[in-house]
Amino acid sequence: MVNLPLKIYYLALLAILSIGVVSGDEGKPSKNLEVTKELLTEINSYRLKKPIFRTKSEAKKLLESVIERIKPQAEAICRELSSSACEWELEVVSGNAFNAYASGTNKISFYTGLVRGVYYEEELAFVVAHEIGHHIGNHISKSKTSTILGALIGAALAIESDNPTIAADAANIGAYIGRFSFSRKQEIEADSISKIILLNSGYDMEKARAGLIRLTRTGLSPATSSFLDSHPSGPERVLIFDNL
Amino acid sequence: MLIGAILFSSSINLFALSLKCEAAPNNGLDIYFSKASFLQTDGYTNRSVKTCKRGDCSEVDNFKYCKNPQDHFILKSFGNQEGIFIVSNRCNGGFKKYEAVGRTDPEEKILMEEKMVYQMRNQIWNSIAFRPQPVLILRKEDDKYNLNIEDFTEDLWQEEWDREDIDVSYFVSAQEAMTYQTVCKINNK
Repeated sequence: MVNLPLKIYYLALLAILSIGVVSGDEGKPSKNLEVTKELLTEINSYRLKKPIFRTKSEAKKLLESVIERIKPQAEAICRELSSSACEWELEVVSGNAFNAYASGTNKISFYTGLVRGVYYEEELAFVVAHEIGHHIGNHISKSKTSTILGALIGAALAIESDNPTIAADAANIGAYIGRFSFSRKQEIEADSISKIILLNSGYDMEKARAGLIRLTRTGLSPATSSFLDSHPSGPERVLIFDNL
Repeated sequence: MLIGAILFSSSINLFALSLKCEAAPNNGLDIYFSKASFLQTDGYTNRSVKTCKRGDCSEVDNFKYCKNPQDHFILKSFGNQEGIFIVSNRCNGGFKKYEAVGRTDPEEKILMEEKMVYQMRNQIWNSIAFRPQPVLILRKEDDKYNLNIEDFTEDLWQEEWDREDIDVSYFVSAQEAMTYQTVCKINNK
């Protein structure tokens, strides 16, 4: 049975994170949510560290350590936000692809190339939690609409409407995310869930952010996404990550 | 006899000047392959994706990893004249040959990559990919050497070369040129 007060707590937490008020920036002017030249300059000049080469057994060990660390938090969030079974079947696929994907009802597959393509453990943890986020958000079953993201934006507006600056920030991110197509919103939702799982697991978010920049720089990402894209562009994901 | 000559020749000082230079600090921007040989970086960019909306364009530079990034590179003069240098690549390994250009100055040497110099001197532009390499300016100061790594600019061309009539607009403009500084020490190894 779903514990309603806890569910509201998580939605509120998601909402508060989504509008970037965790550091208490009361009184600041509301942010203009656009991929700016400054953000692109920061991404283009980011000092990415060369990934550490890991043997297959080292890769497996690192993946297991990440899963062990994030699993309790992921399960707790899943139980509050999702009606699906909060157990995931993990599979390691041999291959150089820098990729992972969620499939079926609870399956997550990781390529060994993903573990070998990162420097920090946080980068890997973000991808693992992102794929778990797809299952929590019920994204595989395409007929079901995505509700968590809408709820968190709505909750943000409802809870924080007393503060005009915060409400404006929430409206900005809501309006910004509103531009994206359904599949791109699902990616943003998975990123949001991933960030909360990592925060609750005590990971360094700056290092997790480096993973998003790595994806942007090594994946030939455009600066903005177009109508037919299934994913937000790299810089858009970094922008949303910063404002979650 | 021949083997003996080869063995003895190794004891002859072929490298009059042997320096170990620290990888140069930088702001992370516009690090192309040719610069990654000298700068503190784990990778470089070789292409950008430009996205335009209503005439407003933004670019994301890709990132390719160096094969074996080191924190220093080697610069050695070949022969006693210090006219030819070999410079190691701190990013991917290997060496490039540089030659001293301009007037002879015992305190300062301007080094340019030999292949690039050859192409420019002979105006070979067609059918061969021209890859501008940074110019290295080595200045002696007490017991150390200061090394400037500079984009090759039109100004430098006009200053150091006779053929000023050649169109050099292909190169970096003086306003956009980047300079990086580092220090080198005598390498006793």
